Amino acid sequence: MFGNLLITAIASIFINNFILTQFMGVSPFLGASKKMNQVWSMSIIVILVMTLASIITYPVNYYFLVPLKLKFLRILFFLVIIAVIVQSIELFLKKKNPQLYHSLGIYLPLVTTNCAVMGVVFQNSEFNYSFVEAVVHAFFGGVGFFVVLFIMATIREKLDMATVPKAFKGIPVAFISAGLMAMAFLAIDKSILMKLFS
Amino acid sequence: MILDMILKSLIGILVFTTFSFLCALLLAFLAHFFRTDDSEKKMNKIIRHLPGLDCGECGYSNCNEYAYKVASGEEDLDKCLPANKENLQKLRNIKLRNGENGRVAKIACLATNTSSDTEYIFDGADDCYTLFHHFSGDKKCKFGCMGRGDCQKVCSMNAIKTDSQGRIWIDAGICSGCGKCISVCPTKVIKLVPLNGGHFIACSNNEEESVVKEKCKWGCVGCKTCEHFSNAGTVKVKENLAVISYNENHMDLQNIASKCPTKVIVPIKNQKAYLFSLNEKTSSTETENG
Repeated sequence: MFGNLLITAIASIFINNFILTQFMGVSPFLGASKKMNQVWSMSIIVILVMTLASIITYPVNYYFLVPLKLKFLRILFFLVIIAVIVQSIELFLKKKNPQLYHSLGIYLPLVTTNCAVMGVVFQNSEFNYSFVEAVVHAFFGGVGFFVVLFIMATIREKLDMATVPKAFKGIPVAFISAGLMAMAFLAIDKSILMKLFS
Repeated sequence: MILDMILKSLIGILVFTTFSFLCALLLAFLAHFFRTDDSEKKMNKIIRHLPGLDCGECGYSNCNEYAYKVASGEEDLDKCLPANKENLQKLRNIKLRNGENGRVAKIACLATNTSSDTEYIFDGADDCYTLFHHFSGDKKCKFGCMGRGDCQKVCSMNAIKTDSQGRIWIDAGICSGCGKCISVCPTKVIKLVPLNGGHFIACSNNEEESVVKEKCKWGCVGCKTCEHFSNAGTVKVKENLAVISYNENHMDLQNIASKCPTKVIVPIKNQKAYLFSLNEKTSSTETENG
């Protein structure tokens, strides 16, 4: 049981990484990785929203949509749930910690349309994860998001200093380095983990 | 079969509508529960009059954060340097306390393409940073503007211009005083001066008179004429370079500027018109002599 959870955690950080292997949430990956402080705020929100979304969608999916045979409506229900979560966090922060709210700025509402959040919720129902597994998968998926964003931000800070051909400046060279990073992340295999932990 | 499908979709529509309605109710309840008070409105008012550059001059990462601090009474309005006078006047209506500062950046050098001889021909990347790291620039004067325009690239207001002679100058009417150009200038020739200060010294070379004269025709030679004519100690010569101490009585600066033999005391507000008139004079005298 514990080994299984460990595999899920490590797999969702490194192997099934949302950005680099599943190509979800690429726009915040390139948009918010320019500065380090943006990385922190963006990934904290993503981790929080992902975990909360999978906690709430689990009972909605298994005690509401499955008995009523409305599984085809998942996309609409999950979308509404994520939007409600983000909005409630926004309202809560606005009242209790306005400084944090203003430093987060546009990134908070942007998480609503972040497909990594949608993806984690869908995968939870698609792979028939149990409740604990779903939460672990979501939380460490968010951590994986943070890891990639963190690495990318450090790379981009160095890229600003480096001499890059004029045509490749900015986004193109970021895409190239993202591709190289993705190749590096593909090197880890899930079967090695399976042998190690179970 | 078809009836079953219709029934299924009807149930779906009904359930989804109810669910969305409940979610909307929940959000409305939360919005009421976490409603914000007057300081939010006040903050929005302040934000509207801030420049919105997010330059970080006030010590906060963006204008929103600073506006929040002002609205809650923890900060003064005078921390914001880019805010222009008009905006500050508006802000004064919202909040009574306010500091007097409108600073603009000025390049303390009048170098043109031809003013100073070059020591060598530089054939590398066309920017100040690269040029500076090759023997501190290609011009003989190592203190002045190198004229490759790194500052123009970072300026978010497009206030830094190049005139017909290749001289780079900052328009005080547009400059917001955020100081981005100061951080990129390798020779540190850009300085912040008060907008209402009157004049500034447009030279940074602190070498001996004979050396400066040989190197550049727009240099401050440290002749102390300005020091002689200023009665309240407005201008003082330190290390062969005149320095203006900006205080209340800058009225005599106009007089001092006209006495300067090399004309390096330049008005802050209409620099271009002044330099244009100067060029007219020099060119006319040259033709007379010729």
